[in-house]
Amino acid sequence: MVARGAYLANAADCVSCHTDSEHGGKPYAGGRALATPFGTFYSPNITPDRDTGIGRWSEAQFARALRDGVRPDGANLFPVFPYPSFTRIIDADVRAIWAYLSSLPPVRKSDRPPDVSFPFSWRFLQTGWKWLFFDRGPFQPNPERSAVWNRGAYLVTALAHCGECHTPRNFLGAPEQSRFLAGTGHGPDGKPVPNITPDPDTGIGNWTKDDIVGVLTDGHTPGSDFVGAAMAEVVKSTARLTDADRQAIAVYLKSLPPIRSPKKD
Amino acid sequence: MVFRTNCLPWVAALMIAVAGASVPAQALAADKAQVIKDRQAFMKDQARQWVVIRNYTQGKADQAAAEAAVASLTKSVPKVPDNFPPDTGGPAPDGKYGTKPEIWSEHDKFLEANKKVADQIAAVGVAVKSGDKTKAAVAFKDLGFCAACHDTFRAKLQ
Repeated sequence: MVARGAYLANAADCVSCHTDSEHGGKPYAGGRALATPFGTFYSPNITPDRDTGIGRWSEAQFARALRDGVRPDGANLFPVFPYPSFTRIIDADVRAIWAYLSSLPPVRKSDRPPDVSFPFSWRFLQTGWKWLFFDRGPFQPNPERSAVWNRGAYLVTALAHCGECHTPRNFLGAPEQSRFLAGTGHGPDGKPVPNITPDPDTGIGNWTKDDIVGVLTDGHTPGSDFVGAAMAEVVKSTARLTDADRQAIAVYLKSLPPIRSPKKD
Repeated sequence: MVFRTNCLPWVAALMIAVAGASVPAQALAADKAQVIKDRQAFMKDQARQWVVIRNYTQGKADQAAAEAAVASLTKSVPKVPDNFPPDTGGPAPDGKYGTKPEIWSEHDKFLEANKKVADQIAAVGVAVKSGDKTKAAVAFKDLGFCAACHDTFRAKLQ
């Protein structure tokens, strides 16, 4: 179960946000700055430390944080933590991830509060945000699609949470689902994020399934180029998926409706 | 007077120096543009060679092609720093990527990173020559992700 949890935690790439690698932070001990238009958030310590980590949490509390965006003390988490994607993770996977996290060495490191100004700092306002934008609930496989497609859909929409970066957001920071994976000019760190729908002009419509598997394997894109910056970090985790899982992601992505990005001037 | 006969060579030298220093600004700009243009072609060609090796490890290119790519990179990788003389920073002609100042402000790191690649291409070459695709894939992977180094020195502009 722990090994399966490790695989799933890699697919969800928990370690990337929950580690302050820029400052030599220990894995999963938090502290990484995540800049958003609403302020800068710092990832919490999710090692099993009983005082500064989640060592006193129960599995049920973990499941609630992961999928409902609510802490054990009842406070809302900010959606910089991608619980709107993780809500789709199925029970068995939540249990496995919890088993894995619980097996990690506890690290003592206090959480840093967010650098966010009023009203965005008020967690209770997140209740309103959730009411407007949050669709709670586990992944529902589509019975008209193949098992491979469904696996890809689960990986993309739940675990790997691709939409959290690749889907444009409205002014309140909620993803515009009608433009799912269609890219944005203002993604994390203010950088543009590409359109990965099959649009032939502004998306990856001219990519083959092998091309998609390729970029997830080692970061190489068609045209002798490679992904950099934030996506290179993602590739570190997708490189560790099974080939079957990468193929499933490719199958799913190729099936999506092509969405055209607005032309840049 | 001694002064008058001896100052002529100095005046001549001064005139030559002034003439040489006043190379039109346009000519300098054209030089820089050429350096950048040649540099992009140089780096793009390297990218194509790496892809051949990658394809070989995936069974999509033959050993002869991979060996030729290794030979090409063995020659070209050590020459990378030569393509970045001082004051040639700026965007590549297609506008997609550009230089980061770290190339020059952290030139030692730049040279070190380049040397790592030159060393690794030797290891990749040995693996490719052995005909063992798995070994070649490992050696290729040992390079690490391209972005790991390129992000430090290459700016994405679009």
